[in-house]
Amino acid sequence: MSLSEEFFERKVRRERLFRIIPLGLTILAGLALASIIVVLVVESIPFFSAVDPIEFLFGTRWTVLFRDKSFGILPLVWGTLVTSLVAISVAGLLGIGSAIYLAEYSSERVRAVAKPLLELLAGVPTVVYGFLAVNYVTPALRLFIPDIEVYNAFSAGLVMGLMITPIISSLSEDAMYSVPDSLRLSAYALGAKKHQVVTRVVLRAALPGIVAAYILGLARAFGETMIVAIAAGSRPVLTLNIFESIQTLTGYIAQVAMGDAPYGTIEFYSLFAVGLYLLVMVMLMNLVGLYISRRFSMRVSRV
Amino acid sequence: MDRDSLMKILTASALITPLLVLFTLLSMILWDGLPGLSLDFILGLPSGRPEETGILPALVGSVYVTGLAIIISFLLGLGISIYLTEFVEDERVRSIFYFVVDMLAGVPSVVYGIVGLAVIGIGLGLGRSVLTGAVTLAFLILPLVTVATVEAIRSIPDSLRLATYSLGASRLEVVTHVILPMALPRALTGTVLAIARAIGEAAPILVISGVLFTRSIPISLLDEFTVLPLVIFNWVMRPQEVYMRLASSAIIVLLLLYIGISSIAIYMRYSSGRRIREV
Repeated sequence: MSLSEEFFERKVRRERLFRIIPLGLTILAGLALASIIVVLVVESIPFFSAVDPIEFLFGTRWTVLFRDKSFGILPLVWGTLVTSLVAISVAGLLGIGSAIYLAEYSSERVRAVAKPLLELLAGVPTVVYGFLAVNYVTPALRLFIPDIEVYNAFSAGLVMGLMITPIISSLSEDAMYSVPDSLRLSAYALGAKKHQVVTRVVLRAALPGIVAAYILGLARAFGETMIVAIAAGSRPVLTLNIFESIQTLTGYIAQVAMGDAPYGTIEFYSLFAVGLYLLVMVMLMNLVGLYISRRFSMRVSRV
Repeated sequence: MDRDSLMKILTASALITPLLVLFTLLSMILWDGLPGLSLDFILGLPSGRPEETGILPALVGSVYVTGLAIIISFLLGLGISIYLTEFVEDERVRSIFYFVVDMLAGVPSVVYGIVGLAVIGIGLGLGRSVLTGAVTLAFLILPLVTVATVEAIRSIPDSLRLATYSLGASRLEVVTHVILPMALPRALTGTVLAIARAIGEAAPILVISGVLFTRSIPISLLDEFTVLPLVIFNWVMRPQEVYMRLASSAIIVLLLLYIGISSIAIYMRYSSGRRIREV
């Protein structure tokens, strides 16, 4: 074998080896996603062999940590819904408003300052948000609502809204940003004023993107753990009063984790059942959100 | 007032309100927490007596777990994004992988904790250790790191790739001599942002470690550990005034870490953005 052939051989071998490593890592990431689902399903089998799935899905009492156990998940789902809806109401309003301002009104200078600040806000550790809710927001609310409990759904939801605002804002802004300028200019050419262009042209064209932003924000609120574990309480009840303490799906997981449930007990396996329920709900929301935003971006490119 | 100015004022206040509320609340934390902040607090061991307590084991735990997680995650993310951008030729296969990354990004962090505990802690027998926590965190931030790295690589103009191939370079050489050196600054920016995110994560660590109070500093990879956000969580859950102040002081330390790391990322983004334009 000549020297150049040997050189070539070695190069090809190295190339082949080089191909394997990134491929392996990518497969690993795919496996990670699959394993999340598989593990949750497999590990909740012991739970569902002891608990009737119908009772789990539709029961209205959740007392797994007591001696007299009931396994109806609806109170936890209700708690999650209530805190998330409070959060999304706050974040929806503030997020869409700030997105309109940033996309349509603000100067470059304001944008350059405001966007990193919003980004910083979104990443503040969530234990800090929980602390704010319990120590400052609830006492302040007590001035107006004397009956409000120390741990309640409303404060947790409010603060969670603050946390999600930047997510909704930046996703909606992206949606408005991708509305082609030709649409704006045509509206102006027809004599529309700026507020008319914004509300009747830009918002309408960006609507699917904004809806997707809301859904993704809601999914984020569903999965948020520390804020509700700290500020929303640990009482799984079906109540219409948002100023009472409740418990969310994630709040229950945190409570079990704190209590150090021994391996093999029903309390331990309930972690996986509740986690599976949470994951399925959040993934469905993310799927819908991603689907809407993907369809939307295709439509804009066609305009 | 005409409608245009009204619209402008309303939307501007929607932008200012959350920022203002948060900064007011954060300055209240400073007010409550600064008096208790001292070197003894930061470098001291926890104690049953609140006046003498410190956060050193949690601080070490945070740095240890996050540091390890970021190394694992960066290597994984780099490999994945090189594969997706340089090897996959079928656009459909690539979009499936992007979909997987999007889905992984949407999984709630507490679910990562449950699965990490089951697979790594119990399944692989590593227990509630530093290593279990770090690997779980690594997968949690993997989507962030991967997206940042993919975008960094994709921003490299194809002409450079083609020029290098036309000189007879192999794929390995193109990646090591062109792609990596050019993509690294932007990829690292995203990675630093992921550090900022990881250092504040409490939910998955709560499930995995479950340790809220410990006097021992983690040294080996298999040691039990706690992190700063969990210590804060522990103090916040106590009703006494003195623990509220302790929590405020610890939050200041955590926020300093978070803001410090984030500013590095923002600065890097600014300077690496400039460099690419100069090319």
